[in-house]
Amino acid sequence: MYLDVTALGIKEMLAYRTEFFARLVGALINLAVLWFVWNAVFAASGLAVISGFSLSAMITYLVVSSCIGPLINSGFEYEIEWDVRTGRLSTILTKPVSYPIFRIFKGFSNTIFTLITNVLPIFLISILLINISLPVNFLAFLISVVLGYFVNYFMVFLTGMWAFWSTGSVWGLSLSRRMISDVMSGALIPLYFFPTWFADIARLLPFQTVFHIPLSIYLGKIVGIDIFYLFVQQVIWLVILGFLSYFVWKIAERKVIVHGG
Amino acid sequence: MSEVVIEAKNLGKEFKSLKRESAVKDLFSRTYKKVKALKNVNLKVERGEFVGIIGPNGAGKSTLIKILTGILTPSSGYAKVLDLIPYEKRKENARNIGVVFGWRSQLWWDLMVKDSYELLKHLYKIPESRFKENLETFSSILDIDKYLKKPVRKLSLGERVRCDLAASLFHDPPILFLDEPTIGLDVVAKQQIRDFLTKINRERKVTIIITTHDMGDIEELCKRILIVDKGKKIFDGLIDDIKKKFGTERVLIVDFQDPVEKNKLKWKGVKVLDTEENRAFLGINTKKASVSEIIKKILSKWSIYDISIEEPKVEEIIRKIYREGL
Repeated sequence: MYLDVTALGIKEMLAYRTEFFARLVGALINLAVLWFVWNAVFAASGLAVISGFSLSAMITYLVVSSCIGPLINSGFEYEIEWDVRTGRLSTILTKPVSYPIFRIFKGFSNTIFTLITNVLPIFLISILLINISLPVNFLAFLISVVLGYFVNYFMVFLTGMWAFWSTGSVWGLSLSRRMISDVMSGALIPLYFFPTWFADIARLLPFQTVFHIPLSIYLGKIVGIDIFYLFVQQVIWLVILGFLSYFVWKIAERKVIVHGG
Repeated sequence: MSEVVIEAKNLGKEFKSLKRESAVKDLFSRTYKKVKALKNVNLKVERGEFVGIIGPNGAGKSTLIKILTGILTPSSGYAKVLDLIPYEKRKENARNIGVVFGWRSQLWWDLMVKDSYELLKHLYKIPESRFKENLETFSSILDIDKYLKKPVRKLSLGERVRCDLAASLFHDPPILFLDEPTIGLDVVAKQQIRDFLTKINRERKVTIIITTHDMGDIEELCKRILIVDKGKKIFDGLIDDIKKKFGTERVLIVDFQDPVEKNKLKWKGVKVLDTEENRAFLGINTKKASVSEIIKKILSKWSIYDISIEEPKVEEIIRKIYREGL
């Protein structure tokens, strides 16, 4: 029944198809930019390998990273805020549904739509045109992406929950979260490039489970039994953030139904 | 056989509201004051009733509706809807009720109306045949056939509210809550909605609770009204009773052939409300004077062109109750 919410969400996305074409164009430009920039960087440095990355590995890393990016940024924290701000929450609560599950399944529609209209085309184009390498361990990569996706999902959810206490603050909070995430997750620059102490801090945070771990598996930086330890890290974060989301929702729900939002 | 479907006992609701001082001060220390939105409300509604809840803005109408629909918990007392405590069993209660907030649509803005309907079919697990049956019935009475394939954002308010109304009833709820459904609508849309509500109340025995500011809604739809003010229930009874009880004044409009001196129109229980040339407006308190006696007296003294009696309008009675209390 919640899957019907996802299905309808995808239909809704179709109303915004021009936006997705625009995003596709943006993603292509981004692809070209990172290709030129890193070619120039490697040419200028005269090195064949920088911090353990060859040019081709570097470009593969960034292309895959920019494919994960749009998948996890569904923007559903803003939908939560909209619900609270406009009272749409009341109309959802008069239905026999759980609000957070409703929102989460609605958010999936964005991911699925983005995957089909944006991420897969970009990925295929990258394979064909700029010869990015394929994942070393495809199954492990897939599992780690999915786990990272849900870790991120709960972080987005928690950001959105902020609306119950202070409407209007979600945008700023979301932006901060993304900026921290961009650096700490290895989305923009691999954690391997950072000084050890910085990378160590990043490894203690949940953000790296979204980019750093899947990308390390993709490139074969981490193989064998070590992959299993990465999964464990991801699952630990998933459980922690999952519980946290549950409790925060319970408090928010109480706030709404006791104090009227 | 009467069956109580909604019950409220000593229902009360207090809100804490922030006393704003200055933005800077509020950052450091906040003082709250308690606002009583609902005080000791008792209510029993039987199956098939059509109850109107009226009262000035902020009187507590919406608070009451929110408690009964399960999205607000009372601070004292309890409420039951079909033997469920709505705010404890929100989802179960949701299956028993239909809800329309006039100010907020439950339909998906960017999608066609029928897409939202399809989702409701899945959410409530409505059998396909029943869904189709309802869709046909509702679209013919509400005349929404032509909007089903339009995106909701392209509908006018009246069209949208009609579609919302249908949406709230696909799962055949025994109880329907309407919070200001006719707000901002034109006369035609209002009438369509009223006709529809009358029909489902009669034919399907749906119990309907409506809040409104429109006395037309009340007079046409509700037998029973509940007046709330400052969180208290100040009247609960039949609309006819309120007319009898409070509508003790009739207005007699008399057109005389010649101008009449105002001070000659003096009887016990009669007040001259206004005069204009040959016309006089007399307020008659029916407890102190009989309308027919007064007419007789007038006819015996003067020759007149025309005479007419005006019933008190519910709206005026209500206004008086808001202003002066009971």
